[in-house]
Amino acid sequence: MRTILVAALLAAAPPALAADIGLPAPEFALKDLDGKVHKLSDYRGKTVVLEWFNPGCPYVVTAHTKGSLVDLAQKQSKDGVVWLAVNSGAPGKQGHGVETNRAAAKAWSMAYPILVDESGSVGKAYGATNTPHMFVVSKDGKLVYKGAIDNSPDAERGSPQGGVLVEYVSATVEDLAAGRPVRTPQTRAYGCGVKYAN
Amino acid sequence: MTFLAGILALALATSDPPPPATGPASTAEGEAFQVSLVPPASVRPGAAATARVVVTARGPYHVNRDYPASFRVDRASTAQFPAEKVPLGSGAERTPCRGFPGETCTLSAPLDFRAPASGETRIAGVVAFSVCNPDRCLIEKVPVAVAVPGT
Repeated sequence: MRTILVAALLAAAPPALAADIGLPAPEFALKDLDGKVHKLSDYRGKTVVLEWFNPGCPYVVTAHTKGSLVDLAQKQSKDGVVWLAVNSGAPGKQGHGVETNRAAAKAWSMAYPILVDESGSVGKAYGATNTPHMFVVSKDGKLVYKGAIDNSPDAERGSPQGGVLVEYVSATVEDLAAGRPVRTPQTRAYGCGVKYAN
Repeated sequence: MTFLAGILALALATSDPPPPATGPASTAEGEAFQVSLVPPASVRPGAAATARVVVTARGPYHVNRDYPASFRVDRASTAQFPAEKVPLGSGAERTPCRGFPGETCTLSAPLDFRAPASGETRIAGVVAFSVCNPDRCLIEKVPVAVAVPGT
């Protein structure tokens, strides 16, 4: 009887809320394109940037070829920041597949892992809705930023809202390094929808 | 008779003014869109005037409202614009998609310019916009050009 009651309660439970600012970032264990498993907790003690990724999305293409993602990861990696791309696209959807992602990584000189989240469970745990959708996790494992890479929704830094370009991820990492509160912890992401299975 | 004439006069006075005459448009098409640059029929040398940029999404696509549509002026233009890259969002008319009133299927944006001091006015540039369907978004950059005779 108790088992039935617990099962009924679980079935009726609302879905987990998306990761929120100031709370521990959801733990995950995902394989990269070479099959190596990456856990978020592996990087405790380092600032981690998560980039939701889809090599077939024109916003991602533009951001990596003309926009704010051209060399930001490379610059920040030199300062000890960990970058991880996450592809939550389901099989058969745009941007899915090891070779497709490997080709994009090579073309865009991405020296950081692309993690495969075919089930979409990690993307949904973070509330990732777009590609690119950026999340920054502090050294103590808390989510400190989620949103757009910058405030130019053409993805090529050419149309910043308010007329002045703001690179939100750069600003967040700078704030963390300086030990001050993150100025803009949340923005609205722009780009393609994440190609979840459903 | 006087009554009928009054009705007619009232109707004429309250009816919308006729739309401004337009010249031949420059149109480009793709599987997911049609873009037109619609100029005025003519323009006085040195005068301010307005063309229109019309983006129409086709089939299952809609115009992506989050993308900052713009007109980047080409060097071939003799028309003068307030900036090298003109945003197309301000003052634009948006026509909802049939069956999906929350989405825009046609964006018609004014494009203000000033004609050169003499001769015809050439308007040339690249229209940047995005269209999406439920599965994917496209970012398009489409060149258009028209010539407007002087009056």
